[in-house]
Amino acid sequence: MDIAVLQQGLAMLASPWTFLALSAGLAGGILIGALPGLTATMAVAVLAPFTFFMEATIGIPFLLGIYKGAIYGGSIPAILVNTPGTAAAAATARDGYALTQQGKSRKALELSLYSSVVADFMATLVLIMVAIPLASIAIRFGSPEFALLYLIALTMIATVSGESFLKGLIAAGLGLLVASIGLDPMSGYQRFTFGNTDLLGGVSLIPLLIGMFALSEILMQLTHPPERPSGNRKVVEHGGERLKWAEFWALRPTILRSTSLGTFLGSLPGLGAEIACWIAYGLARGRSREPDKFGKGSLEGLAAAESGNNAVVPAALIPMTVFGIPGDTITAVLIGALMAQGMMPGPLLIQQNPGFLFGLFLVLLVTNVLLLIFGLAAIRWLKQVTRIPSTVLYPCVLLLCVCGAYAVNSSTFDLLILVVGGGLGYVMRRTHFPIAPLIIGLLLGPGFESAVRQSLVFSNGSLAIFWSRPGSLILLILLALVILTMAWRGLVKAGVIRKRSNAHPPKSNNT
Amino acid sequence: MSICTGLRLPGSRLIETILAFAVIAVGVVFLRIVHGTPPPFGDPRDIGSAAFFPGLIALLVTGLGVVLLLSAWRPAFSVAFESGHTARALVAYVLMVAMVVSLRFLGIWLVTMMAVPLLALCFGERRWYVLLALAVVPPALVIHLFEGVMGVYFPRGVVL
Repeated sequence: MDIAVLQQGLAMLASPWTFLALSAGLAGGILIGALPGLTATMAVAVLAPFTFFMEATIGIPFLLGIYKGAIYGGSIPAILVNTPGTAAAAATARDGYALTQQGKSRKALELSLYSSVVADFMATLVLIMVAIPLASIAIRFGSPEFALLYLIALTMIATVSGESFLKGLIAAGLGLLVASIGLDPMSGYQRFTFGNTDLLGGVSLIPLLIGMFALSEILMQLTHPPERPSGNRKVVEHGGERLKWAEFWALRPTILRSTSLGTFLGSLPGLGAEIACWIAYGLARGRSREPDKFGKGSLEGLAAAESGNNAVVPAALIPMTVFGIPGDTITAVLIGALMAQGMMPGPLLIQQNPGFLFGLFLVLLVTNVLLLIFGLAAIRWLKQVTRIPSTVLYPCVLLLCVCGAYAVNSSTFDLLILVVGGGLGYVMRRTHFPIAPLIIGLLLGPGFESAVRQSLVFSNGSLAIFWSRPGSLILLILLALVILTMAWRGLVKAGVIRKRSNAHPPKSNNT
Repeated sequence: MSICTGLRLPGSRLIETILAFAVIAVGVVFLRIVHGTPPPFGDPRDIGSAAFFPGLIALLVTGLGVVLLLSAWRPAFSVAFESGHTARALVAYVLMVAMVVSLRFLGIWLVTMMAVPLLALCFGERRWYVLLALAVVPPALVIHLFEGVMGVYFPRGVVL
């Protein structure tokens, strides 16, 4: 590695401002994650505008701190009051809360923290080892390879992020259509702007993201008010015995397995921590010698869920740093923040800002040490946070949304995008349309369009360019495999539904 | 929430149909613009033109909307939407829209000092001292944070 790159990376790590921003982000993330109903995506989206007024070396570590902190923080209310702070902690609640009911909440919280830190650290090492070699391959990619890569990402996201592949595809298509608003990336033509100069640069990404994730969440909370926690908060005492080293050491196969699974799933576009935690939990149960204990306070179950969801965080940065493709909705927001800083995620980031990227990797490693320190403090002090009522919390979130969206461009037009995004996000969530494909379609749209059109212009309109090059042929085979897998899944699902409807014929056509 | 949990909303098939028509409408509007006379962004069949890609995607979205419509009327249609307090969410949404639209005229202070406690009311907060605190403390803190620390100045409005 170039000495200058090394120096730049170390300088970023050694900067007190970076350290301060990372610490603030991590502490804030744990706090936000511990508040039931505030998701990690919402936290990163709402706080992203703050980073526009900071240097990238300060702002991006701040957002990464929030991301990591929120994913871990979600486990605290899951264990203490059986209410997952984030969707990624849903599996944690099963055994974590059972342990709390047995008077072992301290053991559960410590195990959750140690599993999270170990998984995060190992997945970060994988990110560092994989990102740079993969990026050196990605640099050689031409337009046809990128077009196919974007298509694979969109297909995968459409497949896995919702209950219906059709709705996923429609959402991705709508995202691509919205992305075409503004100046044409190749000819500079104004498209779908209707003479509005605010739309020349396209639909503002951050206000739309805040609207779709945060405003829609407020509206969803009003539609489905959270149930009262099933545990009696006054009876369940925080404390009990501590985790023994022997107990943690005995869990190393479970943690290793779940971390590997979380890392793999996180590196695929579209699969977030909320899916990884359940798959890791299911796998651990299948491999356990005591599967009956799962759901009743199993340490294995808790360790699997926590290491599975935390391993996703660094792994989701692999497609982002290597190809510029978001691994999940949070990395989509991170890409927006990077673009606002004038950086283009993908192979260009490694080519143009290697020092920054190396510094970011070091920051990710240091975050684990900080997570351990802040996590231990949170175990002691954060239980009070879970008692903040939603009547106070959500109005404050609305205020942050409005101020944050306005701050991006100091434009009231962005506020209109915010509320339109909020309404659209709410309708999509109520009608089971996945939001992730739309956002990722919107993010990848300009790159995908340029790649497709450049490829076709080079080949004089011949589609053969997509299979005549070795790289594109491999990616085309990969795309075919993704589509076949998806079709197989659809057939299996349809078979299951048909069997169910044969067993219980519907009484009415309308329901 | 899984589709199997929660109260099922009657008329799920109708909702899916309306959604399908909305998707088709979006696709058709984009197609109509792209294929307008004279073509505003060039010939949509020309791969070099600005109309090519949006035209292609709009066609795809329209087609997928038709598939969604057809699938909503299959005998084996199995999608069910949950019911919930939609009216409360709608009231809150109207409040958000009103907040955003009136910001330029009423100014940040007046708008946020009204909107924050009103949203708390939607969430069921009835204690006057909490509502009063919400009207004063969060707007003062957040606005000072943005204006004092980040240098972002919000509209002051024409009323005050």
